[in-house]
Amino acid sequence: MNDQMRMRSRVAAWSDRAQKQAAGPAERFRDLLGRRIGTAQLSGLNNIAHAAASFEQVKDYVVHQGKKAENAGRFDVKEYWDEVGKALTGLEEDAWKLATEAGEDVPPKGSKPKEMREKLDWLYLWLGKEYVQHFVAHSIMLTRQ
Amino acid sequence: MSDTRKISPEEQRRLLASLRSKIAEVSDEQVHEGRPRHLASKLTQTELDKSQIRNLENLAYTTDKISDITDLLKKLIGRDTRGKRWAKDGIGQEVIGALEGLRGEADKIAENQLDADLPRRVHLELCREFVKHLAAEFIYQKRGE
Repeated sequence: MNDQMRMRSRVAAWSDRAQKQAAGPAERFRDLLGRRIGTAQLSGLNNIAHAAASFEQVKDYVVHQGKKAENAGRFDVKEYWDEVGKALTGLEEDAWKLATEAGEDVPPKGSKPKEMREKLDWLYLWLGKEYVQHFVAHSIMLTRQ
Repeated sequence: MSDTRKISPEEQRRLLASLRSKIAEVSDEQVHEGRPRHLASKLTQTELDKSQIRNLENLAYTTDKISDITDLLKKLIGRDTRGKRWAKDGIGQEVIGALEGLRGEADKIAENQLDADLPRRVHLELCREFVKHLAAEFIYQKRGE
């Protein structure tokens, strides 16, 4: 198995574990789903995550959605997007751990975020796509209930 | 995730043959216990057609993640706004539950192995077997339509 395949296998294992974790925020905000947060917004997040060139673009989109909700006085929706943003930021730690375990050339823990991003953005984005897929799928299911 | 310990090619072949045999055994038990038949029978009471079940089967055989299969089902449940397909009488949820329930069998098959990701991969194989039986039963029960 070459390095690329090995990393793919590691990410697949991570992704299967992360599915349950991604369902958590969706469950916590289930009252908003289908009402304040529609499937169009959820699909929008999924599309952005899959089309983004960098992980920052995905996080910027989430921050933007939060600001829009705040400006409209929809503070519950703002809280929702803040939670999504926090979950995404948390993936950076997971990416660092995965890369370290895989023997990738990674900056030491505690390095500047810019330095980390330069080396690991590809993995942040990869995990971000996986996480968003799980989160959106679970949320879309909850819109039916 | 730890990597597989170095074992001889002969040992590897024996291990693989033993895993295949155990997976085949559980697969046959699935048919014998009739869970796929029961779920397929419920699916025939919906407006789902053969191509939609084949899509699920195709995904199961091409993905390297169990979460991809359950994410697809969750999205299909959520998008079934009329409640006549995957959302009808909780059938989609039941299929997800059946697939997730195979984890215990997978853990038993893969126990005492040094590759930490093996139970997940065995679980994926069992999900593929289950979906294969489900699709075959569905198509069989839908014959003539």
